[in-house]
Amino acid sequence: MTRTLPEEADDPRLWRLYQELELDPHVRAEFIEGTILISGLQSLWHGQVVTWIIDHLAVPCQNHGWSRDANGALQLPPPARAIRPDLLVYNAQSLPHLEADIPPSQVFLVVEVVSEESGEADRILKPLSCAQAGIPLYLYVDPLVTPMTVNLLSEPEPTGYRCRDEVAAIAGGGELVIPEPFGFTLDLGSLPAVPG
Amino acid sequence: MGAMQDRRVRHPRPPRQRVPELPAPLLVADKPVDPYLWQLFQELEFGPGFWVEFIDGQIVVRGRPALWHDRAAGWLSTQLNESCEGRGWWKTLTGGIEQLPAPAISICPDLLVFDPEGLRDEESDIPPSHVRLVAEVVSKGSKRRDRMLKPLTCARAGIPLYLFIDRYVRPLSVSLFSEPGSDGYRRQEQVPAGPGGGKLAIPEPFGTVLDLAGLPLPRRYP
Repeated sequence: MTRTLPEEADDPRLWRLYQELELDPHVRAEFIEGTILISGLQSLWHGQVVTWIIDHLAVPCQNHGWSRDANGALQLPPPARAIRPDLLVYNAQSLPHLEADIPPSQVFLVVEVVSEESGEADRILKPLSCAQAGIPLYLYVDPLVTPMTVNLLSEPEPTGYRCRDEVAAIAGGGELVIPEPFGFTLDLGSLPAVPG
Repeated sequence: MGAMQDRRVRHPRPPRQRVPELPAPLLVADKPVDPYLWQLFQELEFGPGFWVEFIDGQIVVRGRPALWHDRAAGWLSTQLNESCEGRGWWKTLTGGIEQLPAPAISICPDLLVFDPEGLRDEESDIPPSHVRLVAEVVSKGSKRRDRMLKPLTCARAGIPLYLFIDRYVRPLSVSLFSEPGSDGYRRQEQVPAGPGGGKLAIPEPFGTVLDLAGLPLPRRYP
């Protein structure tokens, strides 16, 4: 049995700095593993995929009265203490107006499209934090593997998601079941293909 | 949609003019740098104690390092005293290098050895051609940057040596990369550090040997 080295603590000044940052809306600032990461515009393909998922979530969200937000911010337990997911689905009905961050307890689904600079964060660190916060579902599209996959993480526990469904997104095939409270199936055959 | 609506004042986004020319090459893994983000990077002022870098198309801001991190960097700095004094080189724990090739366009290494010949004491920029060694102590949020991205950039910039102290491998090790080329350092050596650790030869232009047994381990190292 190997013991692990104690974790390096975050600089509290950096966390305060993060909370006071005021940036242009299209710039995304996140706080992951004791570091502020500020990202700019993503590729057109990245945006297409997010739009595709937003569209496919339209019906279930309408049925439940949930909101979809491609700009929302979440504060979570470490290692990913503050994130700006590509998309999140949450219940806005019980929330006060003008809330800056969306409380994790109201979030049903977090969606990320993996990019090279954020691979570890999107696949490992953010899921760990979302699971600890009890967010029921975490979905990520991974274009860095061939064929591209869509991964659904479910059954959150303090140590991470217990369940992971991985489905290849290939033309004309691939179905991913999004369980309750959504209860529908995503046909991945029409997911925009990775360019090049 | 009445007249009231039309009178609503719209606040335009800050103008995007004055976008500076980017250092070549522009691409980060086939992804162009967002010019607005680059401009933001150059304008951000966070004050002392914050390190701001531009790596892999992102602005990366770090705060004060953990105590052991500083101790390890200090140890390394001391070990290089003799080589530096003999050759007239200077060291800095707070310096930065800009205008580097992608992916790590602007970095603030934990330790930097450079040749001050021809530089003015009143300046703070260290041109890559003056840098003899870049050293990093890997921290939890910087593994990929310290092990992969910064070495690739430093090799492309022709910096002769890149060294990193890594507490996230077993055993805790020091890696030295040398013989820079456009696709990275051709020579890579990893030596265990701490009690029972090995010796690491730092080649010319240093020509010295580090006894890694002396590197202080984190006190609760299991």
